Amino acid sequence: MLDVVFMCEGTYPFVPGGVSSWIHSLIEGMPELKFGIVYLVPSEEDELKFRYEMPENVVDLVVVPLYDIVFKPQSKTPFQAAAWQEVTPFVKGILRGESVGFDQAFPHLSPRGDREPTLTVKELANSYQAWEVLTEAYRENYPKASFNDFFWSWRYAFLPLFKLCLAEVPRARLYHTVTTGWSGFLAAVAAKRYQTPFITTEHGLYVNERRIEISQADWIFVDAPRRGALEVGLGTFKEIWINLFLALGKLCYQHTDHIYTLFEGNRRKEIEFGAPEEKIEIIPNGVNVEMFQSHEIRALKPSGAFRVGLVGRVVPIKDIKTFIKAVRFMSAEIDDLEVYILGPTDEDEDYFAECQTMVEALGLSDIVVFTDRVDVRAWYPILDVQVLTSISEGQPLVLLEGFCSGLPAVASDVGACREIIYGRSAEDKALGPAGSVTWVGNARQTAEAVIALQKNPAELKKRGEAGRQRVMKYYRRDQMLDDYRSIYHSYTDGRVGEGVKV
Amino acid sequence: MAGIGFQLRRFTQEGTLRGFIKGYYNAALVAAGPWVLTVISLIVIGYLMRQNAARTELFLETIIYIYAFSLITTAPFQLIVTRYLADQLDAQKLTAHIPSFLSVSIVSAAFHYLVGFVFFAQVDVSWVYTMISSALFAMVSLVWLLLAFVGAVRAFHLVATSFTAGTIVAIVSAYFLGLRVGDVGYLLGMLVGNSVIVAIGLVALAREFDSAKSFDFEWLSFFKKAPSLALAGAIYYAAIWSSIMIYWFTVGDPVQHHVLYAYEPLDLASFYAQMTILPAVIIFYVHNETGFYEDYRGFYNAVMARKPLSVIERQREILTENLKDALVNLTLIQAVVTFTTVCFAGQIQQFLEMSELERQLFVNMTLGAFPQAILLFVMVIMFYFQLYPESAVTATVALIGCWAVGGWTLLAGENTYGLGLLGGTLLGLVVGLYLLFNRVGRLEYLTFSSQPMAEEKPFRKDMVAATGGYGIYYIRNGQRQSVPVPKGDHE
Repeated sequence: MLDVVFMCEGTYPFVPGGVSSWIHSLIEGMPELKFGIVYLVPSEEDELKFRYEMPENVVDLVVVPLYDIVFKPQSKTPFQAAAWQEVTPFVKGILRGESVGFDQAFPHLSPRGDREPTLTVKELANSYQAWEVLTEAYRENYPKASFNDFFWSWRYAFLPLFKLCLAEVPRARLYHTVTTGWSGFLAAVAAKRYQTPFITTEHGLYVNERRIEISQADWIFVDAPRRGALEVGLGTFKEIWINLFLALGKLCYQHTDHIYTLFEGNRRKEIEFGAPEEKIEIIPNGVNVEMFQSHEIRALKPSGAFRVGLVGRVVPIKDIKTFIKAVRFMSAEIDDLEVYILGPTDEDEDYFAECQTMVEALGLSDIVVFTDRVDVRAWYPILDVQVLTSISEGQPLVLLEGFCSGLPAVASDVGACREIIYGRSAEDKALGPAGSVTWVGNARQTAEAVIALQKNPAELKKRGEAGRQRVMKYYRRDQMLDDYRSIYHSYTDGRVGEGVKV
Repeated sequence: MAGIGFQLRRFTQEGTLRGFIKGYYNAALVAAGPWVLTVISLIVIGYLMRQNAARTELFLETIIYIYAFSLITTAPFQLIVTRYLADQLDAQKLTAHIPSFLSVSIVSAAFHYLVGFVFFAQVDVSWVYTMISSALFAMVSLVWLLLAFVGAVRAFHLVATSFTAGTIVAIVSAYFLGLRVGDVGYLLGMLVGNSVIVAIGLVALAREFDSAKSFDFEWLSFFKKAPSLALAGAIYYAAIWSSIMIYWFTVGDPVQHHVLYAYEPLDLASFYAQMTILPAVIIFYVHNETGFYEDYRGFYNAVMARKPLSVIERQREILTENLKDALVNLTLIQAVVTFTTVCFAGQIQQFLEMSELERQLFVNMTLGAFPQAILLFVMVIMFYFQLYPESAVTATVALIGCWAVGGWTLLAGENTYGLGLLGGTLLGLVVGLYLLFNRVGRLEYLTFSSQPMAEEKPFRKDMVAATGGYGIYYIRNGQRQSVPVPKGDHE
């Protein structure tokens, strides 16, 4: 039996990114544990390339295609009216964005031990009973909506769900999902199937991300807004999709043993989305302090120019344009200003072109430099202030990395920025601010915060030092690893790595 | 066939006598051309033969065998290719008609010629007779197939003309050739007449449709997709003709040595009795099938036009009500025709010079043609809804009923012969009506649940792990696995 199995979707080990690196560091950091991964992929035809060198303690990796509709031959049990009665509240609840009746529906959807599920996916998809449930739900919720679109939304929403109930999941002492949504649902299924605990860690909020994605999707038909609809303009079918993920989120929160998240803002949102408050604990992400400290030679910083840096991809979510506007204000007040935008420019080339045009139009060509991809470790020591103007963030590691070098930050008030800069607990806050927090999209305020620091070198240094102390005390990767190690060990009850031959 | 039906309906709705005659005359020819041709030809040729004291039995039975068996063996081809063409028309593809007709003609002609040859080679006739009768078997099959293709032709008058011209050519050439070379000549006359129909029909098709290629064998795949459709057609005709054939091999006599048996008093009578369904067929074709098609489109348009379920259900209710009304009307029409025919059976007997027994059997077969006609309409409606297994079950019940009641008539005496058709088709009709209205009552469910999903993939064993769960192991017990994935470059 494995110790921990991760449920992943669009992350480790096939898609690089913050969450993937975090999983990789957890697995690498705990060689005494045997890990498994269940990876959800849209279709079996999607090309998958390993983006990480697989640690030796990854014992099993299963890839489960999510949206391919396959009717596996299943042994059919005699018709059971009770089975349908027990499944109905569950599926109707999901349509309303609620999580109800999962325990009752479970034996009819998923195998457990030697017992096969009572209902086959084909029955759940195509039988007359399924049709009756579907039409009942339609009449109760959306009687005026296009039935054709409702039918297809239903099929595309529920067939992957029913299929996931039959997914292969290696047995483990603990399941760990890193999102809610499909992965969270699969973790709940696996935990129930094998009677084991499961925990949830959320970096970004899946429900929120899906909500934004669905709101902007053009493949979903938008009809007239429904009377009393919560979100005007989304239409019935976007609402159905959002409800699906809302319900899956609630289901995951209800059934998970513990929820871990990165910062206070996330915690509050999770409660809003239905997570029981008592289950949530904050474990911030950590940085490898040694890695960034090795470049902490601020004494070598060239004197003269005042250097401001923004570390991030040149994409709309980072709101680079607001930063450029802020530079315009800064340049009026700061002589010998140098600005560096440190990050890939090829992810949204149109946006990058617009930013370049803006730089030229504002006469900042001699000040602003787009460096493209660079080794940021070499840059933090030579900067004076780091700026982050993002319109959405989780827990931005770049601020913490900068802190390792004593680099203060001016960041927009999103995600965990406020608690990273001002501190979370009283003890943390006592370390002092490590920079300033500004309003989202407010170029003038951003500029003023930077100018204030430039005018007061003592304060600049003080805030940099506060950041360095904060990261050393609260945001160390080894600390985060220790936290998860003790969590894993508490669930695996000291029986780690037993019975596994690698 | 609803395509031409709409044009003909317009004529009948003009409110003029000319329009009325034009509409129904053309409908009669397009809907039942081969039947009209055959029966008129047989009546006229039979009369001419008797005037010349020629031997008629072999010729008449050969024709009956060819028509009976060709209907049974052509029905699967005809229905399958009709289904294929309907899909093509739905997809606005009009280039499939000619290549499909050419390809189905080749397959069907080769199949029927071979079967006909093997059959007639067993009969004690000359080799020329064998070859011509086999060729006629193949040609008549082509005429049935042609009916599947002319439904979408706008130049209906050309199609109607083909049947009129074919009939005249058949009679004239049979008369002159028959006078010179006897049975072979009569047969050759029929062959020439049917060839004229096929030739003109092909011209009508060629004028109407473009074709990008010479042959199209795509329709063959529908034998796999809808095998019960092919079966339903064959079994329906097998039911009708087995209620006649049952007497050939029990109380009948061999016309020639070996296989060609006949029970003369019933054979020709049944041919004449089949004519009584003609009025109902024409009405169905011009009015009911077109009206039904509009309701049918109305239902699917409501689905496609993103209407709420209540509107879709209302469309289904309208469709069901109209369908019931249509079947009641057709039943009344057929009842009037059957009643009149039975009442005037004596006069018909005199006109067609039938014996007393032939008159009785004609009445029996006329009674049988009544439910048979309604059964035919029920099955056509089933085909629209793609209720293929249901239609196959209906036809099978009719077949078994025809055998059972037919078997009983053998015990009950010769005055009851032919009642197997009545019993069998009545039984089939009851089952068919039940299945049709049961399914139409759940039309929304059947329509939606039968929709395939674009992402649907056939199940393969490698989609599941050894324990049966969905998923593919990329790493198992610490070992990298070779992954059988259709696409993608996996390290």
